[in-house]
Amino acid sequence: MRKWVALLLSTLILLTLVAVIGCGNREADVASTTPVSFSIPKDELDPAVWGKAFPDHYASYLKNNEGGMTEYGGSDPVSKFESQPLLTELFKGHGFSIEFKEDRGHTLSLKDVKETKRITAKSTASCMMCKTPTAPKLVAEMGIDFYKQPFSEMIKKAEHPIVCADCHDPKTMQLRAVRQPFIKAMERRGVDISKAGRQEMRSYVCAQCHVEYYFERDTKEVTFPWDKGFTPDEMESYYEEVEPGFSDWEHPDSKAPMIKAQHPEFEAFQNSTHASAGLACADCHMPYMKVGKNKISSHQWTSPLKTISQSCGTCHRQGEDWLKERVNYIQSKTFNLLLEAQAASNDAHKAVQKALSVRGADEKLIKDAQVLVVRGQWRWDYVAAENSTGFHNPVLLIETLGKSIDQSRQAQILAEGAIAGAKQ
Amino acid sequence: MKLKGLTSLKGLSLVAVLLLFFGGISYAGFEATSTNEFCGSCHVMERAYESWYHSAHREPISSCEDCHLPKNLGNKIVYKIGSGANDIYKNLTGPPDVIHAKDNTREIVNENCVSCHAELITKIDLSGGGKCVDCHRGTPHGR
Repeated sequence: MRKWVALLLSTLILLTLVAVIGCGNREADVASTTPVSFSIPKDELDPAVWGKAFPDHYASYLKNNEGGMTEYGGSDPVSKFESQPLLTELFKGHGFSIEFKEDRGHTLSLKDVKETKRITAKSTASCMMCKTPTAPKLVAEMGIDFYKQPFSEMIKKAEHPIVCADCHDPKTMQLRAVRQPFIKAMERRGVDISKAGRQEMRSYVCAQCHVEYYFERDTKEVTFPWDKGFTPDEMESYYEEVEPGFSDWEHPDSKAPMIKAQHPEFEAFQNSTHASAGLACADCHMPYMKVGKNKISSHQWTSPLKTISQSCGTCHRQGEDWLKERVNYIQSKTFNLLLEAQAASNDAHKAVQKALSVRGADEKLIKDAQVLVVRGQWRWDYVAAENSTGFHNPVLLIETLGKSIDQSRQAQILAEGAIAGAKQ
Repeated sequence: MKLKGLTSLKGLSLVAVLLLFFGGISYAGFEATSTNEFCGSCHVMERAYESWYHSAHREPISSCEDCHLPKNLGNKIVYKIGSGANDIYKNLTGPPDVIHAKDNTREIVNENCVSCHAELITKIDLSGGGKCVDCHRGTPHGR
């Protein structure tokens, strides 16, 4: 009898232990993060094919066809000459004085580059590097010979605007950079893109195109002037020291050898408050949005003002109105100062133009003035071309405008001095 | 003690009773120190308690324990002992003005976010090591 009781008790004790240890485990099941199985051919560029495996992301991507303006930016083809009337004077002699419209969605990049009046018979294939995945593909096949081919010839080979393949590996969906100018520029800075972490890639894929660039003088290779750094000062020293004598065009009024700035969003963002807090482009411009019962990254690249809650509201809890007001504060101050900088720059051009027409005017003073005209315009153009109207880095961009005004007015003083001191 | 003594009926009954008794006390103590009111009873926790109470994560959605303790019972017990002891010590010797979560805490909290919200994030790539709370900073203890 005792033996059975002993056995029963031992069993009870054992069972209790098992129950406590076994049932004490309350770890929930976590669904896998890649539930979708897909097979996309290695060289497939058509986003509709990719979209079959990722219909929600594709639907979000197609929204890039929608337009919509914000107060200082947006995605409708509105001419910038309306809000910045001095541009036709300041860009005289360059394609940007003929047409300069607000950009549209990434799905329209190919259409718009074919239709813009800034493309002429002299344009080279370099112009299509950032408009279609066919461009980096042709560079991979043809080498840097591609760049100096006529645009009109090479563009015929392009079928798609910016698509999934520009940023994603078709086998793993991991983020990747495909554009050689970006990869090479980072290599020159000692950065190996293939070793970049995911958060870095969430900015790097955008940095393939949303950057300042120029066409190398002989080969027309698209090149980023980053060897000395990303600030306006550092890129200017690059142009002056690494490519002395380089100029995008000569201004017909002041004869100054101008540099054209193009959309330096990636560079301007460096060292800003949000960048130093660890944010990438995608955190604001591809916010997570709920579609059905999942979150996905929005693939509609446009102003985060259109998605304030999703783009800003997860971190900043003060409500949409307050946030909009803070953004407006930065953008309105930047834009108004930009207009002042353009006015100063215009005065500088005109003063040098006048000095050039005065017989006996000091040539050294005029040359010095022309250097300052170039520097002054380079800086306000950096801010004007940068598509955030100051928001990506208010401190840097306002400082840049301040320096621009100073340099333009110094140019004006020198030119007027040359006129005043002219030996007739 | 002789081995024979342990496996005798008397021995086994004693072990069983002791197990039940101490098990019962431990269980009761464990449960009592896991309530939200107990966590919130220290003055230094007032802000955390109130902000949670007025958030979308208040009961019956989640308790302090649901977010701040590991789900696995073994880990939970070990962690409670460690952090509980540390909290009592800090509270008695002068709590800090601002409480910063240790790395261990951040890991546990993040796992618990995922344990409830797993389906929502199936199409998100979290391999970068970011924590939910890096963006969702106000959840639920406010800014």
